[in-house]
Amino acid sequence: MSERGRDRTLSIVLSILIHAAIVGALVWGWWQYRRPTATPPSLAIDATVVNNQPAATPPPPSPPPPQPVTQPPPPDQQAEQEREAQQKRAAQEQVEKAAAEKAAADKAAADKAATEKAAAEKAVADKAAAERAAAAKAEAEKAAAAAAAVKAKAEADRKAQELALQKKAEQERAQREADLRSQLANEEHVNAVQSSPAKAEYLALITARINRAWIRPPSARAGVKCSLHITQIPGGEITNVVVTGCNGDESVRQSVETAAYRASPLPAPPDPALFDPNIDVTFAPDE
Amino acid sequence: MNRTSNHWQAARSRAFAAACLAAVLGLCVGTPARADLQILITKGVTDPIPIAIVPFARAVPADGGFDVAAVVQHDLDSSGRFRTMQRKDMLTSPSSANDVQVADWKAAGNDYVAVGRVTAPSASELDIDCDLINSQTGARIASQKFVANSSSLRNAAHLVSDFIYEKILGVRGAFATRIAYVAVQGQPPSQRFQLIVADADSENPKVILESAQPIMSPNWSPDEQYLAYVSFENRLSGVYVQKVHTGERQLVSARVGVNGAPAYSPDGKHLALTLSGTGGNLDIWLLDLSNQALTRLTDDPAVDTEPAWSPDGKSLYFTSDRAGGPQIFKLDIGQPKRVERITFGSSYNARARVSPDGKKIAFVTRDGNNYRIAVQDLASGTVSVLSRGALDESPSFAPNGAEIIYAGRDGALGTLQTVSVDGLVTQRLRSEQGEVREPVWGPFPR
Repeated sequence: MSERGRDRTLSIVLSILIHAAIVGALVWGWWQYRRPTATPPSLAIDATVVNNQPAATPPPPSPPPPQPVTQPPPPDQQAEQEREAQQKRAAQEQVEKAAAEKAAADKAAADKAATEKAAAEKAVADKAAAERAAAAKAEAEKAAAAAAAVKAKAEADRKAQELALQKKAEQERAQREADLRSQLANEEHVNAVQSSPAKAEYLALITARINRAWIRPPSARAGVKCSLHITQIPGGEITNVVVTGCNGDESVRQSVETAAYRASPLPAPPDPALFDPNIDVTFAPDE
Repeated sequence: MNRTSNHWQAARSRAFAAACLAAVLGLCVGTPARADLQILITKGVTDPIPIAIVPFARAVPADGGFDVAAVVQHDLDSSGRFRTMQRKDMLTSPSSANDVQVADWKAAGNDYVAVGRVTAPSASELDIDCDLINSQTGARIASQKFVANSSSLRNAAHLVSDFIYEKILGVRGAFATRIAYVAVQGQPPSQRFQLIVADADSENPKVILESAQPIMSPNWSPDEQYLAYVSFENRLSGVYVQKVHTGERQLVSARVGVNGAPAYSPDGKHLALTLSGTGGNLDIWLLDLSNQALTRLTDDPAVDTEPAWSPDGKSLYFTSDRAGGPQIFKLDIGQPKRVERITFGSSYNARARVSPDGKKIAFVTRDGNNYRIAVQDLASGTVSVLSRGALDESPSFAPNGAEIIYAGRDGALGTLQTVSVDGLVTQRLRSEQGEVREPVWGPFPR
């Protein structure tokens, strides 16, 4: 506390000293320059310059209030008068200066206010514009987004469709390939069984069946040859018989055709892959 | 450049497609277009053919109650080539092909169905119409009309059998033919000999000669009108020719010694005979029936007998023991000295008869301790023993060559039997108390 008290005292002393110095300087200055120099107009320009950047730099602290001369030194009469005049002029100057300063301050304030207002307005306008722009932009963006969404959806749909088609094509291709593979496998199997003992067995079964069914007429002797084409359905039932060639007599022809039908149903193949609806049968008696 | 490349690619893909197509076609062509299963049948069977002979529609009362279908059914069964459906199993009796439900008859196991009807278009005429249907294929094979009268209805029925037989087997039927044979009743010394002519099924027998002395070696003339035979009715052998229908007959050879074994030549103008003459040695002679002229065919110290003509009339087959035991030889009519031995293998081969096609001979052969009927293929020399008896004799071919009739013994009974030339089917036609000897199958009626 005492320290703060000392500081205050020191501050007061220093303030007095500073004021005294200022007054002294003012007096010296008045003395030195009888005619007061007009306030350079550049001041306004300065102000203007200041005005130009209101938002950037904060306004200077309010100028110190005019300090009243506390004790004018008593002059002599003349000197007194002169001093009085001088004091008057100084006061006048002081007043003028203060006024000018005030005006400048006012103007600065006004300028500052205007500038601030303008800045504010501009800010508002800017903000509004920005907001509008943002809104518009948002709107546009929204529309664009919507359009984009539609487009994207269309694109997605198209892609999905394409994908589906592609998938379908792929599946079909896969199916075809599978079918082909299966067919090939089947053919391979068929080819395999074609040369297997199973085929020989099947042929033997059919041969035995038709042989038993053929009641050979006396005219069916060596040299007679009759060819039939037999059509069977799964299950072995014979559905059609065509005599494709026969050098025997009518009874031989009858006998072989009858034999084919008598043989129905033909035996089942040992392997289903061996089934063939078409069978060629040749009757060729060996004696 | 790009276009060229595209074109090239397109061309390549087209070429690929073409290659694929060609490959597919190649596969099609590569595999047999018609059938992959190729079957060869070389044997077959000789099973009887299943057939339904549906009772024929009757012409009451003109047909006298005669059952045509029953005769046909019996004929076909006895041939061994057919197996007829029992009447009691028939659910319907169609008499026309149009009324035949083929599937039903097929389902009943028949390959064929024969239907027919007897009609009486006039007081003296009876017609038989027959339709033959293949129930396996459904084809109507043939239809035929047979004109008859009340006394020939039985023969007409045999003709129906012939028609069916021929249409199915391709061989002329021999049902409407006749046979002749000798029947012997009683024991020596009081025997009765009969020469009998009957239908081929041994029905309808008629005695055309009866004697207390032996009757031997009946032989049909090619026109089926005459029978030549040997009769000992005068205690001496004589060769007679008798007209079957009238009984009118003629003694054609009654020379000193043996007069035996007459055989009509295929043209009917000559008889081959066995004569012994005064020397007692049997040789083959040729008798011209128009002028009684005799020509000697064999001149050998051995026994030559039982001549049989080849169908072309150029050769005679005969039995001779010139090689020791009896064997079959063959001589050329144009050059009688050219004699060829035909049979070998057995110590006894005798009494040859030639098949209608001239390709086989049937004869009696000793088979172990039995005498049986054998057939030899003349081209190959292959011999097949067909009969199963102990004392079978006198084979004779049916005129269609399908069967051989012969005489057999069954204890005290003499029997007439037939055997198919493949030996598979034997039939007993008739049994008589006593003996039946020397059956001969007549030719086709002209």
